[in-house]
Amino acid sequence: MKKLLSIFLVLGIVFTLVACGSQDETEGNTDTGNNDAEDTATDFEVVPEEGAELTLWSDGDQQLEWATEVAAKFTEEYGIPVTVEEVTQEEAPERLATDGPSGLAADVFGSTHDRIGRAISAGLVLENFWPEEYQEEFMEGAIQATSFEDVLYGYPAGIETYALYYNADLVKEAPQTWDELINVASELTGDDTYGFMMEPANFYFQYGLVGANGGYVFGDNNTDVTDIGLNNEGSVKALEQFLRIRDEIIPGMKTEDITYDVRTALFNEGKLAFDINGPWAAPGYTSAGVNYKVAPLPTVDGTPQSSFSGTRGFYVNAYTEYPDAASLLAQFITNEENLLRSYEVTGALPPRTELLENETIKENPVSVAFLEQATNAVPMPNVPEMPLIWDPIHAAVTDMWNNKADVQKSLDNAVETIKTAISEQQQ
Amino acid sequence: MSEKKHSKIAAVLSVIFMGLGQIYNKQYIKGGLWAAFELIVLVFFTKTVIHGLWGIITLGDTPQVRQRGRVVDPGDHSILLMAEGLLVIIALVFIFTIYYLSVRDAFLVGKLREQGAKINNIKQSMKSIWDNGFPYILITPTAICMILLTVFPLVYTALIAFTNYSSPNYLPPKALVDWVGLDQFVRLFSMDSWRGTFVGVFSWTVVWAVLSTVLVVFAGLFVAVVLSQKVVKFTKFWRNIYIIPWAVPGFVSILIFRNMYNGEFGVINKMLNSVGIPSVGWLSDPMWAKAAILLTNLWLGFPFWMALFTAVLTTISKELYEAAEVDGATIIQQFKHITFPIVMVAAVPLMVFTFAFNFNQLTFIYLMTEGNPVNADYTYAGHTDILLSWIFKMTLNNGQYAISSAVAVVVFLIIALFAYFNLRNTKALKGDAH
Repeated sequence: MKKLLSIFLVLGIVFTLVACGSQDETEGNTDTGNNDAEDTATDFEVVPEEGAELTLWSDGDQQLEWATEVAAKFTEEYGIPVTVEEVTQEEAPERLATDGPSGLAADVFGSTHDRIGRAISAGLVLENFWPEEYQEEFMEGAIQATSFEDVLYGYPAGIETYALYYNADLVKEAPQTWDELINVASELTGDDTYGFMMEPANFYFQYGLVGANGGYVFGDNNTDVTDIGLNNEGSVKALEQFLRIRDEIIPGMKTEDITYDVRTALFNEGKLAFDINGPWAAPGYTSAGVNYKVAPLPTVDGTPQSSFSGTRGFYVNAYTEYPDAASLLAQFITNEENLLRSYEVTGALPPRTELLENETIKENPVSVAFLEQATNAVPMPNVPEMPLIWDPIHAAVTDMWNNKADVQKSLDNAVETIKTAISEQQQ
Repeated sequence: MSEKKHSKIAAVLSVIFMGLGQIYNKQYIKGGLWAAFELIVLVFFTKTVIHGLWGIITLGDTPQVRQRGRVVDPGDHSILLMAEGLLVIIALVFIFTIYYLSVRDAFLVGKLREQGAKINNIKQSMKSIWDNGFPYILITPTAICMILLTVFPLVYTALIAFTNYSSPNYLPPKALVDWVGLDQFVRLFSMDSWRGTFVGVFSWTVVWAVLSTVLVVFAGLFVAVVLSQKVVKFTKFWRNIYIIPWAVPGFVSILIFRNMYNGEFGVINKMLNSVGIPSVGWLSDPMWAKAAILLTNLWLGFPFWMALFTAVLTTISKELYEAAEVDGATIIQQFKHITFPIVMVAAVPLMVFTFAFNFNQLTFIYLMTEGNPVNADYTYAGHTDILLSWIFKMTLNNGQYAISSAVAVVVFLIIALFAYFNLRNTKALKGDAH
């Protein structure tokens, strides 16, 4: 018995040591393959490294389909093998923080622009190697969204914003102004049918009104975090307009009762006439058999609503062993041909100005409506302070909606909280 | 040189270099093995040890350097350096333990020589190690794995509480992270926004943990006792019905409950309305939201306790009840003096664990309400947020790793103290029931 045990023991110890040994190989002088970066820093030509092999993280479903297709094309053209893995664009920047330094992250990954700020400020992302070209060929909003402190990091691949969905069986044509929308919606509201509802607890959709009235998140194009415009005159006015939904359409409903799921479900059942939502909601509405149309958001006092836009972009991991090959891949993914293909496969609107005139896109009224809205959209701020905004504003709007708290006071309170949080973050 | 000093000389020699004492004691092979061990450590690990200690003490000194968008110098990654340093320290503890053992061995053998006893040769030494140290040898692989898989991450997390690791200014590799001592704890209790929130969230956490535990336990006990009565028919059927909540994946049922509680469209309010009771703001009113959370947890949690108590009840001898009936005790009295004390012996330790578990029941709170309804006076927490869900929001959304870690340490201390004092006083863990 003891003999047998001792054999097992020796084996066990060996395994343990081997298992631990592989963990300990993070010795002092880790070679991250950046030696050649110094040589090429002077002459700035991007040539893929010898023996490069790349990994690409992409969102799932059709995005993944498209990414796999493009990766294959890239391999054909450059002879560089690319492995495509599914990592959602929300998850990718978070994973980069842990996997990047330990060499487990992809060389190129997709991310939404509002989540990338922290990864960029942590130095985990390489800059875009061709900023001048990109600034020329892409929509300004997309460039702004993927830049950080005036340096372009991303390779924009898709832009999305929200617009007004309406049920064409209930409404003949889209209302042009906010007043009209409220009036039509209140007429359409019955016992269990509703004209229109928006989540009080979601500032993302409310920002269209705020921007139209001259409110803003941060000053100086959302870069100056010392200047918060969420309690200025415009923002107060915007929220008063927003509260008309409660007063004139759905009195008595509480914030917590209006959720994204509730309104999409109602729209699917044909019990909701208007819904402000993004392009991601369209496939669901189509499969539910709703006869819907999309229009740009109604204007406020003659000003178009400046909805938040989100830009999906590709970024290069700073810890990549092959910065040049990886950047070439990111550039290749976002070239004209591949972004058009991306529109065909996933429906994502390409932020390249050339493609906006493309026939394929122009034939689709839904895309046209979203693109029209996108021209008035403001990129969601990508500074690391942005995540501090949502909760306090959410609390303030809830307080006004549920408890009829004073708009100005609630917003002042929220801005105070945000300012405190920002200053405390600075340590 | 007197014959009496062997033990001391051997010990001192072993302190100077492993194995010297043994060689002095004429145990050449054993001494050679000790010496070889120290040589290997010195030759192969000195650099690692020095680098690791330097890393954990300074947390690096060169930030990332870039030129024209390329990383020229990757710089020091403070957090990784901290992890490496911690591993080195764990390894050092291990090495020094072996060092101590070698000195002790030299001393003891020296003592034997002073007494004129026979010294073991290498074969006998090996045999004695195998015979006396067998359990220790057996447990070593497990211990090593446990240290790496549990102790290391725990200490590592706790260490972050003493740094300034946070977004946006102290994120490696671009910026370095520094040790700041107890600053994060001081901030936690001194900054107005944190303090107000901490007190509020902490008190609800305690209320939630106590009530949720007590409710499920007593509901389970009540159902189990009722079902064990002879007058109840179809006990099997009832038991199976009550087990269902336990069998359904909690994840799904919590989300379904969330929709059922919806004030406007939820089934529960519709049912209440149909019998003439006005709607209740289940998720919008702070108090009702807390009630909804407790009720849902009760529904999810009582089947386990029912099953447990049913099992315990079968172990109580029928004679006790018969004797009680002869003495004319009512059902209530029987319960009070026989059933309750016996089942509680089994239940209390589990209750302590349930309390600790509920104290950190992040998933449940997060799925059920996400901490809502919001509380405008709190910083990044809602009325129903517990400490851990608050930490979760802060870390995930705001990148405040250091202060989150500080809260985690505080929570750990609270739970640890509570569990320690409670378990120390339970009979179940004292090894005798009476």
